[in-house]
Amino acid sequence: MFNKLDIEYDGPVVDKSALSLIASILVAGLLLAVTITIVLSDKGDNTGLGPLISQNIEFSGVTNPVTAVLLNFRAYDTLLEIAVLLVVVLAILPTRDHHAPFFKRILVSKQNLVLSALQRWIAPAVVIFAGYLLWAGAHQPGGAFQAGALLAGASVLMFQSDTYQVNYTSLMARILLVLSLVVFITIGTALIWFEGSLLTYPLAFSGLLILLIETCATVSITLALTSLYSSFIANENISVTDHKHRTIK
Amino acid sequence: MTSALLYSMAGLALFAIGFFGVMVASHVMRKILALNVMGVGIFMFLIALAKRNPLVVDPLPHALVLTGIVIAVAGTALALNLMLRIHHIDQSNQEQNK
Amino acid sequence: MSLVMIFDALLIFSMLTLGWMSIFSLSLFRCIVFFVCLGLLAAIAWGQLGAFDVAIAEAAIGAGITGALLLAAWNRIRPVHTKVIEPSVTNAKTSQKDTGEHV
Repeated sequence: MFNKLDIEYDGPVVDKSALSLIASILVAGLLLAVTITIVLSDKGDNTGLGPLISQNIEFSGVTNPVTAVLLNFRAYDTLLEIAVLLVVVLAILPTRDHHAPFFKRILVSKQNLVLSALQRWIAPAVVIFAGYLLWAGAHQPGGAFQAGALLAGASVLMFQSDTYQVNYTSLMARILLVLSLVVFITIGTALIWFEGSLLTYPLAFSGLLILLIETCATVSITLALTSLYSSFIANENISVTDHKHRTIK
Repeated sequence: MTSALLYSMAGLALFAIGFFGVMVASHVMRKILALNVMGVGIFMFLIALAKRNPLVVDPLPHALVLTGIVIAVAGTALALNLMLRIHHIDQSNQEQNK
Repeated sequence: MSLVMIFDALLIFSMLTLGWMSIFSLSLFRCIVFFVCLGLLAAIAWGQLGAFDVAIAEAAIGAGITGALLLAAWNRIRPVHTKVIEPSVTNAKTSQKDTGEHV
């Protein structure tokens, strides 16, 4: 069942090989049985790490426990997560020419009234709401990832009409994509010199540092998620004009 | 039965459905959808276990699941791009053989 | 059996059904739509379990961005020429209105 990669559109829904059915039912059943016995023998009085985190939360600079865990206690995991997102963006980037401008606006002939009204009304509201989520992540549910995802959703809305074209290999786009990783690593390694170990924030500045890292992370995550979406709507027919040279397809 | 127990068993059932779908479905896009369903099941299991003591909510699995959601969307985008590449190669092979 | 327990049971039953239908439906478009619905119901479930950060992130990333990615990829692999589905016993699940439009 793994030897043949099937992308025939009207093919059968299920592989008709009996071996795969029996094997998958057996393995899934075994996993279910083992885990359910483990879960059912739990007594419900284990508090986990909640009390430990709420004891140390005044040393972390924020009051929201999830943000404190993400950006202070386990900041190294967030650093690696941003790096993994950047690696996936690198694997997906279209190979265009590097001299096209970062942001280009084309005037299209057909205008859709509902779509343009949606874009004009929703996108500014989403930008303000994303900024609020980023700021409120310190003491309420919110944070950098939610704000970045919201802005990426607004960008997907703006891409529905063919008016805007973003070149993800231009200099500005590259700077914005790696901004978060560079800032995070710089702060982390500079703190080795000041405090002695990686990513240990000094107590007076920890709120400020967390806000700085979160702001850069929002910008990077927005551009990364938007480039993930743009890799599916790459138009091979639109010619990209280079300022110095001829028209390149 | 507490709500944490109910949701954790539901998460396991969703994981099992997704796993069955990965093995058995024939189109590649259905396998990708089944992988994502497995992901939703695992996240439900983790967050339900964060509430096993109904008074104190453990915030560490929340951070793990937040990281997991972002990685899952990145992995889905990569898998869909690979599927498009296979489709493109298949189409050009078919045009050559015609 | 309090009201919250009934709500939990209904939510979980809907999620399991949507999970099954998201993989094994007949047309790929319906699978993607059911998957977006599954993501939104998962956001409600995270809110019910007290994980509000994760609920916002799941609604924005898990349902929104993943749904957009899946639909954009689906648009690239659907066959361009439409095919008329002959009504027969094996195709009894597709309605008469499905002919012509390739979903």
